[in-house]
Amino acid sequence: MVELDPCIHQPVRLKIMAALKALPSGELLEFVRLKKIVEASDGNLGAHIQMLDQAGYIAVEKDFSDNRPRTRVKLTQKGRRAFQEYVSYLRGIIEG
Amino acid sequence: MSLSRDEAAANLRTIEQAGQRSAQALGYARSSPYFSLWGVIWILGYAGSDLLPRLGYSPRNRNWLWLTLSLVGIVGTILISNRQHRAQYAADADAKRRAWLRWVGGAIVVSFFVTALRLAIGPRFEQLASVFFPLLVALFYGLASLKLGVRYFVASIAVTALTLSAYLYLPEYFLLWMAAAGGGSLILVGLWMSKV
Repeated sequence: MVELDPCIHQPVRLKIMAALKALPSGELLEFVRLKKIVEASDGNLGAHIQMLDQAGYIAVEKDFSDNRPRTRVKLTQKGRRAFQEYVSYLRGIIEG
Repeated sequence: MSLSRDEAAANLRTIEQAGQRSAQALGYARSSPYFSLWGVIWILGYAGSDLLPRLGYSPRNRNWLWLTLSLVGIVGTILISNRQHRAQYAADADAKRRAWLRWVGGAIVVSFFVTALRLAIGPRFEQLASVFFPLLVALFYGLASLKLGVRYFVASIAVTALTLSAYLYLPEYFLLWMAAAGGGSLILVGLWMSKV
């Protein structure tokens, strides 16, 4: 049986992964927009993004837009697979 | 670590909600430049339609004005769409071909529709078109709101109310009203959608 992925199994990180999974493949989501979706503070969101980045589940891109620093994130292939396994695990529990 | 059925169901609900919010936010963000573009087209079209007769031109020149602006709007729409889907098209050339086919097909369908409408309505087309097309746009926004979110519904109500109120109660200022209030409201909705 597949183990529960502790990296995804945390409320904020679960929302981050779900928000990114809902986008077209390769689509980047801005930090400020993700913050509103996830309803987390800057510091809290930043820490969880770093954790998912270290796990290789998301990729972080930093650049400038209109002379202002911009941070964007996207789901990696590894992250997409891990998330699908996590969802399958949850569905497995519900279906018994 | 193991989860109960209730915990698993709660997590699936969280996933669904976050996914919906994310998809809706992307939809709003992507829609924003289209609203702004067509808001400017409306302002130029309706203001120009009001000004042409005052400047001594035949009201029939309004058709050329709207045709030109519509072409500018369509080209702008395609450019915005290409920019928004650049990453997707780079990875999938077939997706770009399908998108172009959709644009060309859409343009042909709309052209047929407008031509058929013109033939059916006859000389009253110009008078009715200025109120019919905004209401048709409002209808599409209303239908789109069912899938894309409440901000489309607000846009639908705003366009309907602004168009009907001017057509019924301010007929002599209708074109200027549509330029200022109709076009302006589209731009405002575009800005609102970008703030997600």
